[in-house]
Amino acid sequence: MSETVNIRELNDLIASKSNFLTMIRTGMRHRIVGQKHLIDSLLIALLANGHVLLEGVPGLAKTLAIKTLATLVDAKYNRIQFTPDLLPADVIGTLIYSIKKETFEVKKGPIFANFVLADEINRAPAKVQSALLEAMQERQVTIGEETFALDKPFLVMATQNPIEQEGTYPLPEAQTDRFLLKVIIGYPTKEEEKEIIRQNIASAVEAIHAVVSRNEITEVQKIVNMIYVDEKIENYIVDLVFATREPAKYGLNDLEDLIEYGASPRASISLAKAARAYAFLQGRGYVIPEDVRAVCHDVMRHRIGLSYEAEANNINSDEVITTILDKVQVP
Amino acid sequence: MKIKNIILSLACFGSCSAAMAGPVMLNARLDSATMLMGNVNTLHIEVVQDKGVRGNFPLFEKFGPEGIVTLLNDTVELRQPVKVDTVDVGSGRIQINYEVPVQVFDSGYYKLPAFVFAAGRDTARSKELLLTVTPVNVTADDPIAPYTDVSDPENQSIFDKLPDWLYYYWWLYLLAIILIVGGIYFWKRYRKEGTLMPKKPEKTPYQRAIDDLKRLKARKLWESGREKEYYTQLTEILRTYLDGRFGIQAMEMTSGEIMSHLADLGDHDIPRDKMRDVLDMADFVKFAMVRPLPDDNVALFKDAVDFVESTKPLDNSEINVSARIDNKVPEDGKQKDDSNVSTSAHAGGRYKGVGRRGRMARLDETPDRISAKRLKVGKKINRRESSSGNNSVKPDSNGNERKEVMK
Repeated sequence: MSETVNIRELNDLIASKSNFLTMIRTGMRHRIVGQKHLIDSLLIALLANGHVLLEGVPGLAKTLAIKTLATLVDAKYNRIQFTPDLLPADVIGTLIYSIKKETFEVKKGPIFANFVLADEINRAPAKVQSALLEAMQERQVTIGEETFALDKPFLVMATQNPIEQEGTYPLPEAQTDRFLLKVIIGYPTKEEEKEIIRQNIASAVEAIHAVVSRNEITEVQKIVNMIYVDEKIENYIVDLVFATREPAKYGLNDLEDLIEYGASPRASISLAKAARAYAFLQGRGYVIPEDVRAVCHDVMRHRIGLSYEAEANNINSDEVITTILDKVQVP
Repeated sequence: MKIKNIILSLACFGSCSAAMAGPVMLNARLDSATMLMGNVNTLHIEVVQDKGVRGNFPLFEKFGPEGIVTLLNDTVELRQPVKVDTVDVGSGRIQINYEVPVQVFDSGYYKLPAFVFAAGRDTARSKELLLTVTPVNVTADDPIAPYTDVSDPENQSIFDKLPDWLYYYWWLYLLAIILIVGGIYFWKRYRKEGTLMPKKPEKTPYQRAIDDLKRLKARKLWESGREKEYYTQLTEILRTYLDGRFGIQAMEMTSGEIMSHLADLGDHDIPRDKMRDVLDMADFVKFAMVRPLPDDNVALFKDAVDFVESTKPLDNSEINVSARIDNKVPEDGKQKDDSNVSTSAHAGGRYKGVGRRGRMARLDETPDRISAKRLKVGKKINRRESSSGNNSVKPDSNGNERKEVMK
């Protein structure tokens, strides 16, 4: 498609190509009760070609969600349980000597999949985390002297448990920055919990099938990249990010002492990408401020460093972001 | 031959003249031949002599330590020359100018003697000068100050009793009192209002919005193809109005949030549809490069004006709206949490509205709502476009077709 885009045509294109979203959502609902935000976040990350860091207690259907998504997209899924004794080779693969061929052969690791669940990523030492995060960023893995490009689409959903911090290796800020979204998931409601019980004690589980191919997802990702982001929206995004760095300039003097360091330029990029994906989910060929605000918490919460004062006052990054959103003028 | 002799003779005479020293010339004159007794007159003495020759006035050598020399039996006093100037007049000669102050303290007619100047072996004399000195008209009968009667202690006015320092400098003390009182007044005013400049009466949100809308219309932005700027300003005017009128912090809200807060007001007289139409079209223009038809621009401007007019406060009704919001009791009967309520003050009084933290389009909260709203808006715009016949395609100033195109 040329650089000049007719928004109506783009809207029509989105309408014609976004039918699978309804089917994916329906398929997900068959397996997962509630967790709408989790499902939407996975779809945003998938459409924006990013990765998701998930924080929540065990048993909230994190694994099931990504496994179901992999089934619905007809993609390869791998799960890596991160443990303290895990090695980088266990993630990306290694060279194994073949006695028969008398050569070293490449043994690809579980990272070679379309959807990867990095479970409890903070349980593994830094070198393993780095290996994964590098693969996420570069979308390629080098084993020995050979470099392998990872399949498309490639989505990593890493999880970490917020309650058990003993014996963990918290992700450095520079590495969490590489996740497009950090999603906090909570417990289901009473009604949802009852529905979960009913689903799990039922004798027959409804089978789900692939509703979209990997190629279609790749095509849709290209369409998402064509979604129009006006300069006003760019300015809004930049203002939001700059407000985390220089709060006083935006009349947020109270935040000056609460923020240790602000969001990086990668936050601006991620905000724009996620807003585009959100606009696609809404069937729009252009981004509006609602899209930016809708994804702002998930995109920014792991990119702002809070000071000791903030922690002492029990203020989290979500509250800081909410304050910023309330203060920065909407175009 | 005869001419040759004449020329030769002239040349010899010229060379002889040049070789000979020129005579010293002396000229003296008074500024004025008549002067008042005691006044100072000036005597100008000009001496023309050869360069390098030293000369002097024998009279000037008589100046005493007081710098005065007298003439004519001490009746005329000459003082030290106040200015000596030397001018090269050419042909190896110079002119020296002297200015000598002359003072006479007795009236009469004086004949100043010739002044003598000696230069080398040569001596020059000036001509004698005549000077008339007139007396000052003073009679013994003229008093120095008018005679006054001795004041009567019985009939003294209050001013007679004032001390001299007050009587003569009363204006100075009055000025000081005015300055002190004025200073205290302005200081108190500054303490109270924070400024010395008198504040202009603040416009009400309604007046401000109407004025701004008039100005916007006068700028003819959309007529000149600047639709985006036009709708940006139109929505800013409305947002500012909402802030002032209802306490909705609309400048920091999206269109969806603004409509949500308007719905929370619960006032059925508010034409929300008109506001929604304006905001939706503004979003299309601002973020999707849509170029609306002129009819749409006119209609939406009218919608904006209608919204402001419909919500125009009647006398103190702004306060009533505030009171309605304040008194709104939640359905569960519990007191509303103040953390979700913000206040805004303006000319009409203090309002409480739903605060900035009230609602926010969060990923986990509102996607369906926004989606439905967008779809609804989409249909509305489509209806408009279909009713216009040629959708949003229209000729621009060059006659070419304009489409909703973006780069």
